[in-house]
Amino acid sequence: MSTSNSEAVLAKGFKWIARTRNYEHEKSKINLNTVNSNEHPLRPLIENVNSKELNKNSSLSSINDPLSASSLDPLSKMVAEVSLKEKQEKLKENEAKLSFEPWPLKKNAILTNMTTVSDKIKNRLEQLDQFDDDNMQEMANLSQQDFIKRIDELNNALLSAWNEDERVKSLKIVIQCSKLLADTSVIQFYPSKFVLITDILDTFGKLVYERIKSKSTYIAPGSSKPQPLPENFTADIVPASAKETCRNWFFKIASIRELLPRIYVEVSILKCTNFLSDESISKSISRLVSMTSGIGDPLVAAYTNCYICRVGISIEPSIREYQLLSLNNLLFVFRQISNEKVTKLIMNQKIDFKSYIELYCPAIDWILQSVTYKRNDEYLSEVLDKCIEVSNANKIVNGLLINSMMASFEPNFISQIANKIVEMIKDCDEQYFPKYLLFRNLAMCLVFGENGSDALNKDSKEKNKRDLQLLNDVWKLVTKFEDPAQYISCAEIWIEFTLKNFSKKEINTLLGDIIRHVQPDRKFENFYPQLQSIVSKILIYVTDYNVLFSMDKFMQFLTLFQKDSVKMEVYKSVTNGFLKCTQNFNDDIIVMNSMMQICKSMHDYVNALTLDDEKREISHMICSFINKIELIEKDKIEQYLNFYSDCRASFSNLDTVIALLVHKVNLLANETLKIVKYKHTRKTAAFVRACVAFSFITIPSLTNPVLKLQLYLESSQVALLNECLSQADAFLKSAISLIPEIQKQIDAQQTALLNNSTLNYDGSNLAKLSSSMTSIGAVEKFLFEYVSNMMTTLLVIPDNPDQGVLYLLTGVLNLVQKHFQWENMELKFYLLSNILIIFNSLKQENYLYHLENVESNDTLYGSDPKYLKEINNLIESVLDDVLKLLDSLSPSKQSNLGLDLLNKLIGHCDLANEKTIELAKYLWSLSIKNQQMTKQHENLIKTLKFRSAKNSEYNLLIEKLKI
Amino acid sequence: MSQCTIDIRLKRSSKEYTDGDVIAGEVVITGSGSSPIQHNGIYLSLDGMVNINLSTKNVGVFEAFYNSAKPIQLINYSLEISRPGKLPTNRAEIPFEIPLRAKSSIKYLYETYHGVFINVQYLLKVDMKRSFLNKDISKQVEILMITRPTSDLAEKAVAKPIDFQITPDSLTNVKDKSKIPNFSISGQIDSTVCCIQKAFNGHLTVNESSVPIKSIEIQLVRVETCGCAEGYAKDLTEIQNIQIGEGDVPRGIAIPIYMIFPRLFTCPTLITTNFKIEFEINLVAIFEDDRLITENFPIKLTRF
Repeated sequence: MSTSNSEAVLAKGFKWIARTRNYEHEKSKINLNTVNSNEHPLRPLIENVNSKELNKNSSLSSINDPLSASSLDPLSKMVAEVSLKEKQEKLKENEAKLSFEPWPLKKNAILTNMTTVSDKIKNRLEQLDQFDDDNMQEMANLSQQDFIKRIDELNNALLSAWNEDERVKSLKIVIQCSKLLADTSVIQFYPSKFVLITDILDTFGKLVYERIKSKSTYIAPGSSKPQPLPENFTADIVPASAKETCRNWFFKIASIRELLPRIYVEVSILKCTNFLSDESISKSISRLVSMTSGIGDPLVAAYTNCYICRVGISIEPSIREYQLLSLNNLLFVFRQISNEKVTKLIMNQKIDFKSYIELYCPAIDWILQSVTYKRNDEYLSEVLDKCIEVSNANKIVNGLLINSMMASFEPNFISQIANKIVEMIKDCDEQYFPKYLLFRNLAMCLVFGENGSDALNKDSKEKNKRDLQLLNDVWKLVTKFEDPAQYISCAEIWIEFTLKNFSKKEINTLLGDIIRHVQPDRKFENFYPQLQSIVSKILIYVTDYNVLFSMDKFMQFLTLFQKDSVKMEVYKSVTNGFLKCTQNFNDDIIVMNSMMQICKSMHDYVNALTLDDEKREISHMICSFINKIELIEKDKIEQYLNFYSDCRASFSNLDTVIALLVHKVNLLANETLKIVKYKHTRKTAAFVRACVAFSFITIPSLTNPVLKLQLYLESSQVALLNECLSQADAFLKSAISLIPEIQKQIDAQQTALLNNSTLNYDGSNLAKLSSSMTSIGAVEKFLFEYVSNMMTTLLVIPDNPDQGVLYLLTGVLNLVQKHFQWENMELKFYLLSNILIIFNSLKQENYLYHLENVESNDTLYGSDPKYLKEINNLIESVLDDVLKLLDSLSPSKQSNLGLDLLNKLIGHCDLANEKTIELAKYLWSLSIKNQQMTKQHENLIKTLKFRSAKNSEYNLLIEKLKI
Repeated sequence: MSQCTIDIRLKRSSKEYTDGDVIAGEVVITGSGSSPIQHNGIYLSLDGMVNINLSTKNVGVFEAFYNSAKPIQLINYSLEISRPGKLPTNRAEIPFEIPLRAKSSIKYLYETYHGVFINVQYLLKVDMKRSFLNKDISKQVEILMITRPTSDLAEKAVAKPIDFQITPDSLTNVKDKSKIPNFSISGQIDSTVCCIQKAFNGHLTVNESSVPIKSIEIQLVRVETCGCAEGYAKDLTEIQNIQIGEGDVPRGIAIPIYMIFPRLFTCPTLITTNFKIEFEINLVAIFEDDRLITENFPIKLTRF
């Protein structure tokens, strides 16, 4: 049925006759008159939102200005003012809190640091050791987890006892808890135990306080009803009954037999003293502090003092006297720690000196912090002298004290006395406290301390001198560390100090020293994280890459990273830093070479197993690097081409980079064209040809065919612009012959997917198509657009005299008709109809557009009849194909496509020709075969009628179509 | 009707009164039902007594029994605060005032004291008599007697620091001096005449000790003496023991001696013709081998 039908169609002998067009004339008719405008049509109608806000702000800051105050009424102004003040105060408060390390932070640090993983095992062993001792405290043989659980239970017991109004029982529980603090049998656990138990004590204190407070009411002056106590009450308004309750608590606690629970429990409810009298708290704290000198165990004493200081601060930060007392107490106790005592103790505990000493850290840090918080330098010096005195007298606690001082004093103060501290560290005994830790912490203080003192630039020279002296002093010692781990952990921090204060010379030297330390025996393999952190610090401080790469040790330092993954991370961060920091890259040869080297290393890292994401990231970085190198100097243009050639050699595995290079070279050619003002000299012509050649040989090395096609087209256009006709031909030829390849690849891919066989999986083949083009549909769509686009270029390309007429276009035609197996016939139809149109355009006497310096076929053939005949032949065959194709499609598609073709016909064909009109009639009948008039139909009719009103050539068509 | 509670509420929450004060407060009666409370009279009584019982250690059992039956009554007072009848609602608050005055035969109202052999106690009791079907209900509260500042008994503490030194040589009552470890403890006590309302203060320093110290404690001891025709009985018992040094205390640092005198269990030192209440303080140092040394300080407690 269909075959006979198609024969019938062919027999009718439709013709596709091109209309003769005068593009210039049409253009002048279409163009509308333009008028200059001051208003942007998209500009928002409402304005000045920002300026209003600005006004508000200024009125707040300068309330006296009568002009700016107009925006706010006086009442809301006042409110705003008050809230602003409040905010500022709050801000200040927060700042104060920030500079004082809060207890919960410290608490968590203790809980995580001060427990050993092997606690359980150790405890088991201890249990075995002490098996005969049946009377051992119930708690001592519990493992840490059990202990924490037990403490939790006690806490719950306390709460439930309290809730059931069993106050005596609650007190007993609390006393039991604090008794545990006298027991140091598992000494490593002591700090954690302290934290857990003082938590319970805090809860207890809060319960007692809140209860007394909630029970007490007072009668405010001027009112007759009792009210709850205000937040800042004074003792004189507290009712007698509340005072009595409070006194009872203190009496009860005062009769606790053991010293330690008596101190702890009294401290825990110390805040209740506020009910009794307004001033006695400071007396009480001082007494409690002095009571701690009755504690024999120095560790227990230290932590008791810590608790007192902690509670003291939370109740009333303004009371400070006891803190120094506490410190003195502690220092005195330290004086007592003798060698033999500690030895004996740690023998029993089976731990070493250092870990024993470290147990003191949190307590001393806290106390020192309380003492030194917001004190003036004079006061600090006094405290310092006291500490120095003690630390000189006793080598055991020497390091510990220095460390705590550094942890708790203001970093600024520490940096002032850094010399002193270095001297002290020198005298430290490594046996009791690791020196490297001290040096490390010192550096941290120095680094942090600098922030504030930046303003004091007056004596910066002197300071610099001092700093250098300090660095030298320290490094003399650090460089002697035998353990590379200790060395590197110092270096990691000191490098920051160096970076902050010194120039590249010192940094370079330090880097050299680090390299010297970790190079032998490939020790650096153990310290990648530290080395990495060093690099990242350098990148933060050295933002000028000219300086960075001029340090010879830096590149050498980078070579230390030999593990691929680490190397990549480091290189990436260097590259990222470079990309971020370098705004105007003046092609410094050292920087360029260094960066090239780094990029090349990154490129070399990429292999078949590299993840796509990583590949993309690396490609992106390298591209950004290449993009940084911009055309600046016109007379060095050849160097850029050389550079791009180098890049091509270096980054051959990354499609994206190669594609970028082609773009870049194309750009280079066009820039050259611009420079010579579109008239090539012999020299520039040669150069441009070199550029085109570069593209021509580079594009095939890409793996992604889609990318290839796009670049071929782009390059051909560039070649055309630059009068390289044969090269342009070659690009297009390559592109045309590449398209069938794509089909093969897709087929292969499809079969691979169908077979689902990983064995036949050829990664290199599959990876060629970009991810969005995995389906044939997508590829065909792309090809349709691509070929249509290419044909616009083909319009201006003159025929090669060695080849036949419209050689390239014939190639395209063949491709569409024969070499490519279309799945989507509609696309094929559209493409063929587009080809019909391009033929129409080619038949014109003057083409729609031309390229400068390129003679297109219109001038070349001058509408030679042979040429026109050739085209007509081609048109006939295509039209034949198109109609056959149309015939084979389903009616609904026929309707759509017929209409489309009709549209094109109306646009491009001679409407006076009868055979063309016949074709139009046929197409129209096809399109309305379904009896459906769609919007498109209506639009067509409307347009035709509109046009016929002005132009009589449409009349015949309208008549024939009977519309 | 049967569920009925009675309570005494004193205006002074400290419950501390001195001779001549007026005890003011109210009796609160709460019934459970909605019906009014019926009673046969509500009576309030104040009773102050010195109870002395001799320990069997000093005297024969019979004698002890005999002597203990001789309490000294200091105050006895009773009044009816409500006549028999019905209380208007199920909750009644009946205010009262009782003057505190010693019986004519008694010169002083001694301070409240709870000891082992001697007790000085003042009880305020309320009784609600009820018809024979219901039990009488009652409630008593103890009030604390404090010496009036103007009283003859009111003495003032004197600050008179006393230094002490404990060494092996200073010890008495030692059998074999060679076994005593070498030690030296020195210190100071603020005064031996102490105000009962203030803490016992002082400090001590362990200068040296060849044996590690386990604990240092202060012990508060009561000395109760009961006189009778045949002579007197004197008993020493511990009131409380407070640890001031825990473990092997650091040498050369002053350890505070600080003890609050417990209420009820202490009173100003009292010496009468029939009995005496006195106090002592022992300073106890216990060594690691559980041997201990004690230094005794007789003290006089005063109210002010």
